[in-house]
Amino acid sequence: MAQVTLENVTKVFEGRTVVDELNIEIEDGEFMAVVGPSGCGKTTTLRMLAGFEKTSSGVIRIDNKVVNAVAPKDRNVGMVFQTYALFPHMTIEKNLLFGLRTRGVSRAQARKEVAEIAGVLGIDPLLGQKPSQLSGGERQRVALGRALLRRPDVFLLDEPLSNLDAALRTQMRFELKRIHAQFPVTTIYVTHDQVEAMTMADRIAVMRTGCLQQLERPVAMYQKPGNAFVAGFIGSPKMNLLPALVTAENGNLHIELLGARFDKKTLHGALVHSLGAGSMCGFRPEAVHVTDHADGTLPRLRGRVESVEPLGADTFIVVRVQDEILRCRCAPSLELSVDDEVWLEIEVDKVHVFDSDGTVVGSET
Amino acid sequence: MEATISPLVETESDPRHSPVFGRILGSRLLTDAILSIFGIAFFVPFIWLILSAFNRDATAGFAGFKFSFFNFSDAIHMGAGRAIYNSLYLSLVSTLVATVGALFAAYVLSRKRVPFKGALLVGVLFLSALPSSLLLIPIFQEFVKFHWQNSPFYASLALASASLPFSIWIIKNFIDQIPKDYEEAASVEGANDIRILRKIVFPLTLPGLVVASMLTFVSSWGAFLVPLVLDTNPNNIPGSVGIYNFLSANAGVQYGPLAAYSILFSMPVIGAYFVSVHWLNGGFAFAGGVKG
Repeated sequence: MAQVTLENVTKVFEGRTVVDELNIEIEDGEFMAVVGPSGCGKTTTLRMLAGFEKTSSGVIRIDNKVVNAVAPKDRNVGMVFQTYALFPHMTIEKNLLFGLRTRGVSRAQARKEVAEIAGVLGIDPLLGQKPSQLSGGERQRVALGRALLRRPDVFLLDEPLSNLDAALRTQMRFELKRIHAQFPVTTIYVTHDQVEAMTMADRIAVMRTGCLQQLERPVAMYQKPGNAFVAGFIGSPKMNLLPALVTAENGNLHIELLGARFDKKTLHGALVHSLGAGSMCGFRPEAVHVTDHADGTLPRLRGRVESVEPLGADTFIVVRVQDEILRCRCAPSLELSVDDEVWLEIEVDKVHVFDSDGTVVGSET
Repeated sequence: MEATISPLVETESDPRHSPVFGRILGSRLLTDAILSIFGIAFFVPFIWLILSAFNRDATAGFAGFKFSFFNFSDAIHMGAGRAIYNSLYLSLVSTLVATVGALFAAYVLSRKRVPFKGALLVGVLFLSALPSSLLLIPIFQEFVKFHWQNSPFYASLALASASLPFSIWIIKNFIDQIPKDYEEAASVEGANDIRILRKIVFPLTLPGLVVASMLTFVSSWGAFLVPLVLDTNPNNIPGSVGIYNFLSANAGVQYGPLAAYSILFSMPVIGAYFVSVHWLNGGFAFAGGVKG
């Protein structure tokens, strides 16, 4: 169990900065998800934590000890690889015994511990088989078991669910969370799937092109994204990000969005940057109220339904407003069809405003 | 109505489509005939070899056949047994040294950061094309200096060094194909380089090691010039050199014992071939530990 700190960690590969001045502090026992699109540097960061890559600059601390120069075998981390990396020429039992025997645990004691973990993870019947005989989910469990047997200070998981089918992924998310509750080891979980991050993590670190975009608890990040990128990345379906004309007046923002005009109070009279062209407004699919008649006092957009996606409890519609495509949630009882005219009533306090470089405008960050 | 039949139009009445007639004139039979001639040309010496080995009155041709094992006993009497033992010694020692050395070198070249690695690898490749006879004289001079010229052991080392570059190349390319994940996983489990080599890399590289050692074995088995020059002790003559005893000027060419000797000399290599086929049929099994 240990705290993990990354201080100004930078990694440069052949002139390209893959990780840029990363500063993250992970609490002891915390489950932190590191998310971002492909190429954002999250796997490189994980590999630097494991010791497979050297930092170009910056300090990595595990349990308050600087580990930059410490070899992977001495860092006491447990790692689950995206490819599981189970030794193909050994049986599952031998795979699990490998680490224990390497560290000098007696054969009898090691077998006992392996049997125990196998019981917890439900992999007892697999012990005599080879990795090639196992399914993806089973291999994943074995990889987890191997990491757990390490009794490490830190767990590093590199997209462990990405090779599983959707149903298995949902089930394993629940199991991983359960295991973390049972063995509350500091965990760093890398994924490109924001649903995994949202459902499993205590805190999420969003990365993009090597830079940390925001570090926050899931629900807070959802409600108050730190910039346009995080706003568009977190949340499914994605937030609608639309061009808008925004001007500042007496501590209020005056917004013109696709034909609707409304004012938004800035919180605590927050400083408003000078807004140039390219400002954007964002609101989530559930932040609009879809109606088929135009009345009421809320600012509204008028559009035409392009597609209806009924999911049972909710229905999502794709609406064209002027030249923009929006995705909105509506009640199934509305029974809309393609080409219907709809009005989208905007809940102003759920609107996020971003200026042209994606910075949040007018709310505390 | 009768249509004009052009030679290229195929109709049922066309004689080229008669089953028998067509196949005789078809190109298939011609190809078969030519290939058969080549096949026979290749086979005839082997047939002669086997026949002559068991033929008491063996000659350069196929005349007269008197079945006997005498040729084999004659060959053994003339030193075939000792020669094959010497060949085995040379080949096994050189194979062991070359393969083990190549494994270590290949692992480092594949996995570790080495200065001027590119140049090193190209150098290794060029060295593997270098004929050992080029270096024979300077090596012989060094052998004399160290008084190594009567030892089969040092001759084996010379043979090993001739095979080392190519073995390194083969094994390195083999190790390159093993996903690094396994070694990284092992290092996270606390294993140092030696343990990783022993428990992970070595078992997974086994097919490549079999290939490299087979090649070294066969190349050392057939080596003539190197053992001839570097080991002047007549007791240490390997089979490849010893065969010349049967071509001595005074007795003329003794075809029978020569053929018997050749067959005896070929046996270990053929045996090694079957062993390696069994190993390689085990497949290149690093699939299964990684991904799906």
